Amino acid sequence: MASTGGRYTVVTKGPLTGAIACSNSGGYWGAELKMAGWDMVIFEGKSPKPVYLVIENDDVRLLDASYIWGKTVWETEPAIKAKHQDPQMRVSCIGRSGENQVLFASVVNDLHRAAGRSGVGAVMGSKNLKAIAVRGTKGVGNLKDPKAFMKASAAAKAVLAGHAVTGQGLPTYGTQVLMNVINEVGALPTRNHQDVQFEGAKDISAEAMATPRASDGKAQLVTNQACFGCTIACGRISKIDDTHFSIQNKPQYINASGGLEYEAAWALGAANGVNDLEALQFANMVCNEDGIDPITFGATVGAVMEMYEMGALTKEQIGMEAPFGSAKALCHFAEITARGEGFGKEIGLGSARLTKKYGQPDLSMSVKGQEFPAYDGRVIQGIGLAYATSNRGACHLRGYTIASEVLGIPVKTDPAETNGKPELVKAFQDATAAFDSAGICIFTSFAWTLADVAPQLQAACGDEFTVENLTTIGERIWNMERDFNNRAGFTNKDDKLPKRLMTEAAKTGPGKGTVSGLDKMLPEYYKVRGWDNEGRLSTETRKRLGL
Amino acid sequence: MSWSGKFLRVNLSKGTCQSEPLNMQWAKEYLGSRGLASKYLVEEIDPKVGRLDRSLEPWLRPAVVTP
Repeated sequence: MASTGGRYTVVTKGPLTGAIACSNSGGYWGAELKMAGWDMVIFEGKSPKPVYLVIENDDVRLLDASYIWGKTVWETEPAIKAKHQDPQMRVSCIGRSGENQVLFASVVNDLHRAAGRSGVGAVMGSKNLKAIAVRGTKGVGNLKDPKAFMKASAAAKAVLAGHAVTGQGLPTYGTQVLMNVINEVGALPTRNHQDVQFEGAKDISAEAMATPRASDGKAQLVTNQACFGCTIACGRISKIDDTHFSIQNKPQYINASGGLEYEAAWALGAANGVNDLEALQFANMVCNEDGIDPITFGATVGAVMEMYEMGALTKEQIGMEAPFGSAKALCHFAEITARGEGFGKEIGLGSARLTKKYGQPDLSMSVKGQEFPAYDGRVIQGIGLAYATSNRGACHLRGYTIASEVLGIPVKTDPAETNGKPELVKAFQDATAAFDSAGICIFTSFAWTLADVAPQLQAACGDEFTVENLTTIGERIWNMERDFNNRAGFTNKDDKLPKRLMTEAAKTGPGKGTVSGLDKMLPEYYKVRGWDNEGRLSTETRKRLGL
Repeated sequence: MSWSGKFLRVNLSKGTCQSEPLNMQWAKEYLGSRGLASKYLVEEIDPKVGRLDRSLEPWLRPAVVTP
């Protein structure tokens, strides 16, 4: 099979943003659905009572979910397996936060792999749909030329194994390899983007995860883990220190589980000024246990802490003291947000709604209502433009120009430069749409270009999937998403960054003194895209792409 | 890494599950996963539909490309 080809994608209109939402997940669930013989499931309407869907090859049933409603992800999956007496069933489900419609609820499969962003879990909750359990034993047929496919996928796997990032960096350190790198280039957003370097970065890095603790002599990191069919294996499995305050009398967190990934470690850590690695893994586990996006959650906590420090939110309103750096506040917020209790209901709105409600809308570090991930958009110009124009709100996975601007893949560009960035962003966005639509992990693109993907698709699906055609397909998908958002009411006024990134210069690091050059790049980007001045598709662009 | 050629349509309001053939023209134009599922979404719902609207919002889970 194609390496990493077992992913699945959840598409809906996003509750957090109002824009098209599209989140994908690894693990084993996607491959199981495929092996049950299905390409896709569409869920329409709303069930009058909680239900879950069971798919066993061609046998498909909607069943009463009253025995799992109100349960966490970690309780739901084993309960379904026990009920159906099938330990090999794969389960994708929501936790209590999806039921409570936390606006950044995720859909979780295999206990800690998640379609994490944009609140797709809240849509599932709104439909009274708790879970989809799948058992597929049909295998996958219909390959156009199986022998050619095996040959092409083997060649592509050799490319992954031979590359420094996918063959060494990611399996050894996971995505957390980035923590110290991004901090050194002065692009690690810290304390709600007030700073661009975090003095505690080393304490929450990949290296820290692999270092034995003073308390018990063991490292937090236990092992790495691969998703179905993946030959990279970037996943982290870690164990919290038994003596840490966060897990006292909470046995469900004692065993090793997923985390920390870079984005989560940043959002729960640097974004809040928290350098307690054990607290970050605890908050991360809570996010997995009840299905919430750690990026939006952590970034929203960052806004809360800033508002607490400036007096816009009081101890009485929050229920506790919440200064930057408080591991105790972070852990407590994770639990009350997941359960929908007290001030957790406010955090569950996300930072855009929360800051607006309390009179500080400029303190939401978001685009189209979705919070930034772990790279500063004023220091790294291309990623700032990618955030502003992302079709699902601020996101690093729609055009990861960090690869070029920091890591030099496929070619090194200067992060401070704005010239050429509209073209770079477009190229990354279109190629990413093609990678995503091939169902493979975007991490393959550190080593692969579309020239590595095309031979696999051509052998599996048809000769027409050439590099050139895949680039056009990617561009078509990007424009289709954009057109949907335009028709939903989004305009050029929504392609903007928060005031902080436009007016408050970076205080330290190589990018000291810089702000975003978005105003210069955006009109050029529209031109490169073939859109009008207000960011709408031109007739010519529609015609060219068949839209 | 191919299509089975069929998908499942579940109507939660009515409690029905139906198999439907995949639109292969769209598959050629949008491939699978993100692209193909988004094509179904934009064809089937009004973009102006309210947040979490109960009747119009299909929720798609494609897994078009696996081995």
